[in-house]
Amino acid sequence: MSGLFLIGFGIFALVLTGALPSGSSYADDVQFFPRIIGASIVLVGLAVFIPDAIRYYRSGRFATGDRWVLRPLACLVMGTLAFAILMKPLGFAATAATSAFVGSFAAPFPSFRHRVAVAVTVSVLASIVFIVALGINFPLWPAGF
Amino acid sequence: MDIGNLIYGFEVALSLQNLGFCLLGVTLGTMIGVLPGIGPLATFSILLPISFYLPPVGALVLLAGVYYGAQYGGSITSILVNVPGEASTVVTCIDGYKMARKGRAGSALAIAAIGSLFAGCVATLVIAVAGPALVSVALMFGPEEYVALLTLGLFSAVLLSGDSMLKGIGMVLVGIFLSLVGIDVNAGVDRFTFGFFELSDGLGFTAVSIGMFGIAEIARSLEETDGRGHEVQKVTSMWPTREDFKKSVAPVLRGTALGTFLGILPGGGGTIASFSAYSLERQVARNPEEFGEGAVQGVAGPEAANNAAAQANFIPMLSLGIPPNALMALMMGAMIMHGIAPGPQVMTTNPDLFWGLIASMWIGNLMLVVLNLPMIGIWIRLLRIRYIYLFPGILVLASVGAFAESGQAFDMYVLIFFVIAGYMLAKLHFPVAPMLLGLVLGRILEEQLRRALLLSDGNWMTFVERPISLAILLLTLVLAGLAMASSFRRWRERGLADESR
Repeated sequence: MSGLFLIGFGIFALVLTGALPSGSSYADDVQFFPRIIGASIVLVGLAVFIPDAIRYYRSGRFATGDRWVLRPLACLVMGTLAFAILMKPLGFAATAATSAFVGSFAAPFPSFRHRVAVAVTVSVLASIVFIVALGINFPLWPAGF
Repeated sequence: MDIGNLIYGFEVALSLQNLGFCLLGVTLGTMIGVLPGIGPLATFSILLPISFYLPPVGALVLLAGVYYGAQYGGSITSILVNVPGEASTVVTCIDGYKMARKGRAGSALAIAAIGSLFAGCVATLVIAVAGPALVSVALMFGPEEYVALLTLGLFSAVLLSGDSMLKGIGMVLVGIFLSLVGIDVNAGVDRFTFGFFELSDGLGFTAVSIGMFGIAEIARSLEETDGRGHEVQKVTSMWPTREDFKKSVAPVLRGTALGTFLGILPGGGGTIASFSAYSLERQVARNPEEFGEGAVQGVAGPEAANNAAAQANFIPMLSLGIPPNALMALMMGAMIMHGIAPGPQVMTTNPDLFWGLIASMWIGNLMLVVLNLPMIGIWIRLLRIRYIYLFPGILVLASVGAFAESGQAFDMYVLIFFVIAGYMLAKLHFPVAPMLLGLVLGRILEEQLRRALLLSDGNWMTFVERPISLAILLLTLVLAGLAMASSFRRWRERGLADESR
């Protein structure tokens, strides 16, 4: 799988590079360097893939990588997404609380109240550190407050 | 070394503001070293955009403190919990935890802290002496030498990292390719931006690093621990016995020398230094059978080595502008964010930063001994906190870091993309750190390569016609040859083992 990923990425890089305008000298040839890198990625991908394929041929087992556990990843992504979407309309305090609350579902908590308490604590502490102490230019409250 | 420069450095580092940043940095470093769910790379990524709000010298003093502070903190978890807080303190678990089980936790912690202090101070002195000397050499470099040096740096970062060499090289190349996203400065052409004007300035370095090291690391950590806390060994006396102290002197000296040497090399860091020091101590020990059963030399040598290497890592970054590993690449990113062009000229254009940073390392190391010995109780209490109560805060911290850089939601989408990419790459056993190094150095490599070829009318032999460039390229080839031979041997052995099953 690792070898195939690199080969795929390298081919994708070469295709994208091919769409760029080519120049006449090293100063304006924007294809020159990415082409070298794309081709090198394909070569390294082959060098990873071929021994794996030989091992598969000999032993019948193929290295596919570790199992994905989706819950932590999905909840953390949702928490980050909530931060991106809510920051402008809701302001920092509510966004930080929502992001921490949504993200907390990545792991089992003793109770729902614990999740809420953690989210509120994170929001209060983050507001003090970032807005009050560091002076980062985020609106603390929703627009119109 | 000019003593006047060092005195000036201490004047800068001892200002109330910089002392505060140093204390904050080493405290944060110890904290993240103690907490297994988050490493210095993730913390650096998160703090990088936030550090923009601090004065340049203060920001770098803080980040440096986080880096070497994490080496101290990592040893606390290794000794008390048998869980390495950092990769560089993995070997400390072997004998440090055994010492703790035998009721000698305090002695192990004290030896680790004192050894680290000594190593840190010596390595900082080496920076003060070797840094300016390297700067004078670097000023003679042309594009050919820079291409050769960058190639050596990128390859040896992979070769010495201990991960799969080919996968590491693949990741460096992927990082270099990603660094090319954005406007090509020479031709003024957009490359790989897919029509997003937000990508014209390139991929947000912080968004990529926070995604891959910050949030993806939380996901992996939750998978492994399910958010549980740890069972911590008791600490009684915090002073080593006379015998422990006597046995530790030589290992600390050897570890310091080895760590400093390995830290200067591109790719050398705390991990390889501590492993090398451990194996050296075993080889020179009169009673090697004691190792693994609570030998104090197995703590003293590696702990001195990892701290010496962490400090020595600053030498190539500060004097040549070439980061030896991903953490130093982030440090370089912080300098760029503050409008400081990394390279040999930093010593003359920003002497307050160069000498202030060096002096702050001495002060920081002293602070760390106080933080780690008399205040050990605080860290033990922190170790008992369940990770589920900490990670939502880390998630918000990471999001603030990514959002603060530009205030654009687009950077957050880039971040999310790299969270998933980082997780996927880790599952496929790709080392992710080399990618970050490629991302930082890719554009510089392209620029210098094109400049060298332009100046030589496209003559590729220019790289071997200049003696310094040729010597560096030959060194790269020797390292690559050695690593490939050992990699091939391992592959053959694995193949034979598979066949015999």
